[in-house]
Amino acid sequence: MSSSWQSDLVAEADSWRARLGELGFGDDGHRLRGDLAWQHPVHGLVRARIEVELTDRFPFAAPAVRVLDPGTTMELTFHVDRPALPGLHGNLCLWDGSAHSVDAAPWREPQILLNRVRDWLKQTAAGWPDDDVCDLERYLVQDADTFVLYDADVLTGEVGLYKTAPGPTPRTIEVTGNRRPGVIALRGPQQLHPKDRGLAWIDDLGEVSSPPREWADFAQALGRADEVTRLIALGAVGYLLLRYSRNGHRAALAVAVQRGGPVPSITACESADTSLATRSMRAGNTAVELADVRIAVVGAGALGSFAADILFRSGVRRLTLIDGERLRPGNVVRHLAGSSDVGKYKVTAVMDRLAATGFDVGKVEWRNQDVIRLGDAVELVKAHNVVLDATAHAGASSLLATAADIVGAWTGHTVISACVQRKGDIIRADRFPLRRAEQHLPALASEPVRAGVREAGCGEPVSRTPPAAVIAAAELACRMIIDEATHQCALPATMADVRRPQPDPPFDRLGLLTPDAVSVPVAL
Amino acid sequence: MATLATHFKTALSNIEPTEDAKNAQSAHAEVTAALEADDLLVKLGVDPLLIGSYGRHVSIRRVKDVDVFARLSKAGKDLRPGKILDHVEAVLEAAFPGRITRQHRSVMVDFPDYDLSVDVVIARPCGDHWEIPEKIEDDGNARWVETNPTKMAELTTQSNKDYLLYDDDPGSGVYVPVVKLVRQIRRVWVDDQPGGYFFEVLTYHAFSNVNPNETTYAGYLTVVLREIADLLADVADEGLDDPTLEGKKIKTKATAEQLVAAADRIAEAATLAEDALDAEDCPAAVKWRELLGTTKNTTTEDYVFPLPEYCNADGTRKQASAVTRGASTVPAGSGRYA
Amino acid sequence: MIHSDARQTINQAAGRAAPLEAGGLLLGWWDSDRVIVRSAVEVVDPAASGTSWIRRENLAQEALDRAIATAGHPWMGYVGDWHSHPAPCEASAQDLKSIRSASRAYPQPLLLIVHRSGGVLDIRAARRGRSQTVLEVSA
Repeated sequence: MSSSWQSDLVAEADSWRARLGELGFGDDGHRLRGDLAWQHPVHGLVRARIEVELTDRFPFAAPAVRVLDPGTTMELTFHVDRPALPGLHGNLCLWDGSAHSVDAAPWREPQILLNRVRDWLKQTAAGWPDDDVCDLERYLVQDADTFVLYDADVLTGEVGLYKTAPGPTPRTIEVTGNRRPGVIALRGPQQLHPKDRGLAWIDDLGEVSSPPREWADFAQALGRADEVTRLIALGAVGYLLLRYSRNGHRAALAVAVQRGGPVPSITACESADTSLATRSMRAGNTAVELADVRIAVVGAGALGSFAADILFRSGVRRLTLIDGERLRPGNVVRHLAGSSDVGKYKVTAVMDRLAATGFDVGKVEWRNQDVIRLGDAVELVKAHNVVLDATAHAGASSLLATAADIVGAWTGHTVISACVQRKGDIIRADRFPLRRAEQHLPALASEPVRAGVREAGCGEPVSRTPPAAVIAAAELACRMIIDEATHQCALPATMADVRRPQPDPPFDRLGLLTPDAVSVPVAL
Repeated sequence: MATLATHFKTALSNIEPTEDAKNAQSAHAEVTAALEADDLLVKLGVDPLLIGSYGRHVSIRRVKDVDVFARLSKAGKDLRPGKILDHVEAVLEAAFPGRITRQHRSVMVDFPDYDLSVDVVIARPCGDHWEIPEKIEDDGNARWVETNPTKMAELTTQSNKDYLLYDDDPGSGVYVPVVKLVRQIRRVWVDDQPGGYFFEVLTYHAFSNVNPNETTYAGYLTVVLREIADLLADVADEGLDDPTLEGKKIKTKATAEQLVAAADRIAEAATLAEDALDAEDCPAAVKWRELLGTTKNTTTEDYVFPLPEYCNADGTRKQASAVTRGASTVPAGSGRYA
Repeated sequence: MIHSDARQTINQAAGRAAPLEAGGLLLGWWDSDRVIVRSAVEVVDPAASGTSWIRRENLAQEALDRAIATAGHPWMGYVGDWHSHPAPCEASAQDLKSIRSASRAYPQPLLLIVHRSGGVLDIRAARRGRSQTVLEVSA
């Protein structure tokens, strides 16, 4: 007994096939084949022969369409998958699968699919004039194993032989910026020197008008094809790293080559650029501006460690981390650092995690001493644009708030005090000093932590806040810090997220609270 | 217009003798090995060949018997069929004790584990074709009759190349699938005689006469079935031409009455197919189901044509979506409950 | 399927109205051939007696509109009627006639629930003007 959703799918597929059948397509129950008239820009109306297959992903994915005969002399260039087997036809790439929900999927209407194929054929005939999709890998046999890393900044404009090195993880290799100078040749019967194996040949294919599919295509496109062929035959060149562009959009193709057989065998590797620009691309719009802002994080515990991580990933480089404690095993579950960091000062544990992102931590400073004197707090505030108070300690917080008031408003120095209250039901961040006409939300008395939830010894009571609330608080604090640091000054003096309503107004309603509209949650 | 192509494909795979094929292969191999181990038969140039519907790849589930053509390529004109058949029987009895049945002009080996039997027919060369004994007398002599069992296989292969679902795909032959469907329809609609080979020949003639060009199996089957019905109507009087031997007719055990009855039944079946082709999908599915019936000689008789998941067995369509929202209006007027 | 919300509403309304009859609408949806009764609403018949309750179109439609609006459930709608019998007797010939006649207006079956004294529910169905057997009732 099949369920109704299954029968709906079968019914749709049957009706889809029937409609294509009415348009003259033959159907053997597996693939449908038929003729498709389309307008060639030069030859006029021609008839292509196509094959359509409804896969078991239909209607969530478009049917597979293959061109058996375009109906005129025409090379199929871009936007077609490599055939599953040699001699077969590849599937056309008709739609970006991620762009359509099944409810609005255009391919569910056979006529729209056929029009799309017509358009595809027209585009192919015209050479895909506006197309800048850089996906040359898809036209080659895939090498699922090797991942090639390269630095586009270092290798820009270069052509020639470069050394490779193992990458950071198994099955990754890195094309280095080091040239292999001189001439490589076998010395008598001796083998090639091991360090001359697996080198990368870097070259530029320029603007690509047809995707290379086999060795002959590369041989034709490379300026010094004979030399490259010789180096591959020697076993010296193991990789080709080829820059290319499509309509001005630049990219690189990494190919693993192997000697043996009449021509080298080639497989496309997944490859990625390691340049700073590429690695910073996803850091947000404010990353450049944040690079020169000085920010201190006081308290490198749960909230402070995640806030430091968010700030660093967002582009903040001049970071000062302050905390006198060492990381305990019990901290780890709610801390950026891991169990291998236990015993380190929290500040160095955080430093090490920041360094693991691969970005420069040269300007990150750390102090394993708490701020306890007002004078030190004032100096700290003056030396930084924003100080994050993540101490979760009333004494330390008031010290920093006082220091902020002493330094004064509109001086470019701010303290953001962030905390989690009521076991994670409330998270809030307050900015000091207040600007004119501003006010904070009323303070919410913290419930006293019950005796008994302490680690052994005479430490501070352990808060029972869950990790999610800590990370949410870190995020809220960072929003306010970045708002200040980039001089947008769009956020109010307090932001509180009521994650579970409390008996005490105005904290009795779910959602974000600000002083301006105390009872109305504000969407930001 | 409902061709229900994917369901037709399933129907075809439901009559495919997949399991039997493996068994038939093994049985054939065992019999061949036994024959080829005998000195006298080797001297006579024994060269067994699979023939029959199984040999032509047009057999359907269940295959009950497999024909092996034991060609004695070096046999002379003086070969006495009775004697050689005695010999073959003795050779096979030694290899398969207690499982041998001597038949009119062949020796049958039973394979109870496979639930099938292998029928060994001896043949001697005669020019460019073969002869098999027709009736063996008590003295071991027989009249030899001309036969060309491999010719039908050649015609089948050629027809499957000639009639393609997709002109540009030589692998899309429709002749063999349609023969299988017709053989299945015979099992469902015709009472014992005429037999499967007779209908295979009818299908061959139907293809030659109509030269069909359709876009689905359903389309081909419908056109061919109608032509077979028309051919059958005349066969009782005129006989059926043997496509493998010029000027000869196909022999059948069917009586004239049986031929007429078969013609009526197939005409009925052809009408059902035509109706199915015109119907909406669910009523069509039910008609295809009736046309193709159930698998025969199997442990359970299963429908050959699957009912699409969205259809009910009575040809109505299941609700497109299972859930229908409650009505937004109450019944008009008032309703009194006591 | 009859949801406990519906049973509760019917029980309460019947209890309140006794010794007069009470009645109203069944709300829910159809899943294939099953009627899902998600809730029930009472529709007051100002002329109800100990042996009669009448579904009046205007009052019933108002009650239905209100119920659909407050339910906020995309599938919710009219799927049948209910009424109570203050006596322990099952659905009457008149009851069956009325539900059959109401069912002519819908492609799917309608349910009739009769609440008998003692809280026993008698459940009947009609489709396109004909009585139908209720195969299975689940809570």
